[in-house]
Amino acid sequence: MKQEDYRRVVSGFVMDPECKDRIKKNVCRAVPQRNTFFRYGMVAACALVLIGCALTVQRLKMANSNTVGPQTAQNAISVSQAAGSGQTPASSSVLSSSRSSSELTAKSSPQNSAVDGTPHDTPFIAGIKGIDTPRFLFYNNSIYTIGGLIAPSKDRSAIPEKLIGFAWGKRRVCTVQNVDVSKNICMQCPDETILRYTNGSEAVLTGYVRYDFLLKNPITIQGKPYFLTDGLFTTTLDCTSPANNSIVYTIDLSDTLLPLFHQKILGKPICQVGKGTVYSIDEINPDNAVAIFDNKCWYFVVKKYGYTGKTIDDVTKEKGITIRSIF
Amino acid sequence: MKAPRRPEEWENAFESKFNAYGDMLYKLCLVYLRKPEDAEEAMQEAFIKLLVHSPSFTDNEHEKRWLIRIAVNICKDKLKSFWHKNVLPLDEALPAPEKSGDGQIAEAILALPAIYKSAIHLYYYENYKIEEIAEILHISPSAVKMRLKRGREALKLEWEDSMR
Repeated sequence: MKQEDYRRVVSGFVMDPECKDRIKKNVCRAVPQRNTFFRYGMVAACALVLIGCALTVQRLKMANSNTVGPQTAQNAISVSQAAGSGQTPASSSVLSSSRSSSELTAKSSPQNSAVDGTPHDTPFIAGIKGIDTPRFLFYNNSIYTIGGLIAPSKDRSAIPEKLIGFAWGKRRVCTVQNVDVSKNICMQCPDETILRYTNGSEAVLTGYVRYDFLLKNPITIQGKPYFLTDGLFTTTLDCTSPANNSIVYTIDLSDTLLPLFHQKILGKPICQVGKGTVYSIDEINPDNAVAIFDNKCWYFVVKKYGYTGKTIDDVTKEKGITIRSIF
Repeated sequence: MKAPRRPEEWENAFESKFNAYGDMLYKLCLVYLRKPEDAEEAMQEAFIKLLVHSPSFTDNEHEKRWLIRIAVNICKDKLKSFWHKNVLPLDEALPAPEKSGDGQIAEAILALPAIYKSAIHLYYYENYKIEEIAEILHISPSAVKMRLKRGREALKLEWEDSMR
């Protein structure tokens, strides 16, 4: 076979006369569709990518909003309630009260809220997990430390990462963010930083709390104060808030004083101690409570369930303190 | 080449390309695929690719070579397809017609192994040089020479068989 034979034979491969029309019809129908499909496919792919990016950014924003760094902890306190863990109070001395709101926001200045005499949200006592006696009173958009040392002065590392809150009847675990207690009240706390940043992202308490601040700025919680107490005097602590006609006190409890109770006292003054008057603890009822000031702290006694038999006089003698009227 | 947008632009673009390369592509595809329907389909696919992608060419020869390359690839894909491997054409099942003249040569050409068809066709029909064929098929010139040699031998055998 020669090249001429090949060319001659292949030249005889002639396409069908209608072939061109068929192909033209198909091509002109298929090309714009493919082109359009490609173009819109790219647009759709870009749109999906953008939507994905937007969702990711939104999720990151939400995540960041739930985590606040220590730098932002200046003036506001928010107590966000985390999921209940069923966790028991670390200390048996933790006192509690009811709390109507699951979230509280605290301002830095207690005077703004506590002294204005306006009824506010019920106090909310929170303790710190892992520390013996500290409690924080969240009330009227402020945070107060009531009772106990926040942390042993020699071991600041004991400060926990999270502030765990407890509410009477239904335990709650709260995470405190953006806490600035620099102007809040703490009894028997060293006049220096009592809480430090322990976690860069959450549950931070910081600031300076001075004991003398309480003396200069007594707290008055009016309206419907909660009487958070149970028991006997102890030597470790007490926080009081002398007021004209109502007081909220706490008394520190040793671990041996069980069970815990809380008494709700409404209305008129709850603490009126006559000079030299001695009440047996049995005789003290919620409307007739006692507050004792030992030039350093206010001590407070109320009716205790599970009476131990001691009288206030016994206690004051035992403790070497003098009962004084606070009104 | 800028991609057309309006329907009439597509038609005009196709018309010009088909007039320029349609016959060449059809023959190439037919040699490869042996069936006019398949050749038509492969050629159609090649034109669609040309118009969809609208690549830029330096000249018409560049465009022609691009089309040849695309058509060869399409034909190879078709030969490798499941359908092509598993379908027995009806005409092959029928009794062979009487062999004579160009019909025997055509049968020998179509019976060539696919690997030699492109080199043989481009060399003998399109008059491309060995280097040009190597460039089009993306193989070395020596490979082109080898395919031409073996293709000629296979063609000779086929032709001789068809003469018997």
